[in-house]
Amino acid sequence: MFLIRRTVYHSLVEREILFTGIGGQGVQLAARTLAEAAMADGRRVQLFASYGGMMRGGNSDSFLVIADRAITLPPVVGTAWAAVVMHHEHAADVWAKLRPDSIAIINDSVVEPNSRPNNSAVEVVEVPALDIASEVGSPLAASLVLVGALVARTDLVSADALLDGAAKVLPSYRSEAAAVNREALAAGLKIGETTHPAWELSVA
Amino acid sequence: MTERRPDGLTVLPSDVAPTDAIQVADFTPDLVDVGEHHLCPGCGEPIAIRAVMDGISLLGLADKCMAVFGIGCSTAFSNNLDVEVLQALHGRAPSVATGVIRMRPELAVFTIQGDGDMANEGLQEVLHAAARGENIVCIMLNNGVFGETGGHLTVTTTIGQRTKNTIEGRNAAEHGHPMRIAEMLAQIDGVGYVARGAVNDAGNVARTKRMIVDAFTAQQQQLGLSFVEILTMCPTGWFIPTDEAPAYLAETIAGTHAVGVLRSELT
Amino acid sequence: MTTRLVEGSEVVADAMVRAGCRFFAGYPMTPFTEVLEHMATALPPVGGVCVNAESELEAVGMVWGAAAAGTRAATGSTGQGLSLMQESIAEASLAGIGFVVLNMARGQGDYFQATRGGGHGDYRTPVLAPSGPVEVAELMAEAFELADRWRNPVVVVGDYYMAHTWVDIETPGEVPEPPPAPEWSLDGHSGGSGAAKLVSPLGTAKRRDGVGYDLAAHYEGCAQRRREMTAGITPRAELVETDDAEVVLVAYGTMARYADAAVSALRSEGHRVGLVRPITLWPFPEAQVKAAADGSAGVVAVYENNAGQMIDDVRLSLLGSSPVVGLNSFATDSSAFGIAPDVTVENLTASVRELLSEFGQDAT
Repeated sequence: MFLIRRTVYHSLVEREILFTGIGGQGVQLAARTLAEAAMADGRRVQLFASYGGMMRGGNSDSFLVIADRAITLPPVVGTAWAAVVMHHEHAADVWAKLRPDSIAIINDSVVEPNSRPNNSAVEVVEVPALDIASEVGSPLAASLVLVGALVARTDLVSADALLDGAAKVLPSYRSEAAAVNREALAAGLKIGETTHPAWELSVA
Repeated sequence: MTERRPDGLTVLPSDVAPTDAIQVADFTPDLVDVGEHHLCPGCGEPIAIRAVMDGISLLGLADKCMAVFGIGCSTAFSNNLDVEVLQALHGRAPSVATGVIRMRPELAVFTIQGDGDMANEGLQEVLHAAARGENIVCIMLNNGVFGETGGHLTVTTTIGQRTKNTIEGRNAAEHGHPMRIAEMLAQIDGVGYVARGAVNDAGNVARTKRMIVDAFTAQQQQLGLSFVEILTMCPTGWFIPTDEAPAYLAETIAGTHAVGVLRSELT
Repeated sequence: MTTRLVEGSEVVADAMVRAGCRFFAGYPMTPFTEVLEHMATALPPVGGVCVNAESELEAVGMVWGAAAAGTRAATGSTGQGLSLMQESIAEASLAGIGFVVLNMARGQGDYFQATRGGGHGDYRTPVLAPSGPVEVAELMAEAFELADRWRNPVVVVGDYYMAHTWVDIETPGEVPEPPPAPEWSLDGHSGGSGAAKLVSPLGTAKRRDGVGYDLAAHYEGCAQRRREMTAGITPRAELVETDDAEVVLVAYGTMARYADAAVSALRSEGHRVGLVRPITLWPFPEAQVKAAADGSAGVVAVYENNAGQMIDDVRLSLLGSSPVVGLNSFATDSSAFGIAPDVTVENLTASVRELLSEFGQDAT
């Protein structure tokens, strides 16, 4: 049987967000919270989660794509529009993939000062995420502070959708963390004004 | 010409067959299709299989049971029974029976394996099935050798027993120690009944049949895995005259693998 | 209907349940583990059973039993676990017991294991390779149909990418009822009738019929059934822009998604590049590969996440009629789960550009 398909060419706005950290830092939780929020806004998402055998301390990376239409990109993207960096250990691959017009949200509490984007044109937002998360009551929620900051700078998803995402991604045995995770997202949302609007092209 | 002994008993002539005698080859046990078997003369396995079939017949389970056969000499019976048979690979019968009982819990599912099959190739299968409390009956025909390959060492071979690869007799220093499978299973939570029988004489055959009935009764009462080990003669694999095999079993094999009921949750 | 963010492994599990699978047994191993977790959750509500088997040997044994008892059944693992299952997969083919075996592989190094069969004896297994979570539902239903139709194990190939890619999908409606147990299967009720059923890899001739196990006749029957199966399954492939291609890519599974994106990128620049994506890895879509290559002026490039396995089938399809090259020199990441960091659309596009300059019309 021949299934013959023609490629359809269209201009598509796709936003690729890379997450990197080590196991236990909440990298996967942060990526899924953002993905749920994008879905609630009516956008399409694809999220590839890559982590090593160690539940704690191994590499933990996520490749999230948010788009206006069905996503055709393969799981691992070669270049990206944004990065959320919780730890420097596996960040080199992320720095290499950031396009000049991209934005990097960095966990300043942990990431070494010499681990920064290769390209000086990338907008860097340094966030003392661990301190802020501890202030709202859960150092475990640092990754969500970063996601809040990304949304504050980009309007990638609506604030309400993001805050509602906190409860959606938790399994039943972790549901008690929803309230403090929401606080962490809210704290992140207060970090700065929009500098890097995500959907300018599609709005125009 | 019929003679009478002084005590009044009849003396039959031994040089001609009695005219109305039933020969062993003519006899077909219940739920066995063809009575004549192709195993070695003196083999204990046909007796053990018959005991199992008698138990099923007695409990009226023929049309609500499934036999899962392993690979060994007893596989000669897997296509010769009037109960449903699912043939498994060497060592795999308990997991195959697990798949059956999980989807058809109303059936009396049982496995038949030799000691090489169950205790060498697939020991973990029966141990895990027991611990999971699978509601099946597992039968192990134990003659202490791989009979089908020609008489080789198994994990139940007793000290001193000759096999083709322990030709001067098993010694612990060189060949390790025999494993007692029934004892091992009896201490696992999740078993309903564990016993070891033998088919070397009429008394043991009768006891073994009772064990089989008890094992299937425990299965019908959903008490978990039931296990009956049956010591069987293998004169070929033991390298002894056929008529000495029952005594060899009693004196040698049963010395390590003692006959009796090891555990019963039946009330 | 609501849209949910769902992990690829859950899509796979859901597809199996919808395809009528009511028995599953498995042993945890990355990246298969999450499929087992989801089956443990999904089967009980529909009256099914999921067993956490103590080993892959026992997992496939349980599936042997459940399938022989008339249930649509499946097991899975990654390549190493499938290595342990091979004896049962091979003999199930001879016993005429059909079930589905899922290989959530680490990369694509298990292509030979899947398509040649890692077991002993004269058997084959149909192999289906979905490109990602979106295609899984359709192919999983087909896998169970093939297993039933040919009474033979069927392998479905996925990988770490498929297992761990979350997608937004609409939650389907009610789970359909599985089909009734096939006629040949065992239910325990034919005993005592004088015609009790037998299912065995040694054949089903019974001693009461005067024959007993006749392995020569049985194996000839198995070979005949295999020939019919080979002829009876239509090889499938997706062809993308192959008509005038100077470079025809051949890729399956996740790798085909990279190749597809590279074709789009290169076509938008005016380069004539196409893709053949085998959907059935066995039987291999030889005619589709041949047709695509015959329409091409240039080269066939096989893009696979291994050191070169499917390339053999591509060469057999072409019998020397076109040049064939392999694009498969990747490093895998430190986890060794089959994630190759240098598998990207950008890297593939660069490789194809080199091929175009060597084999295409721009070649000097």
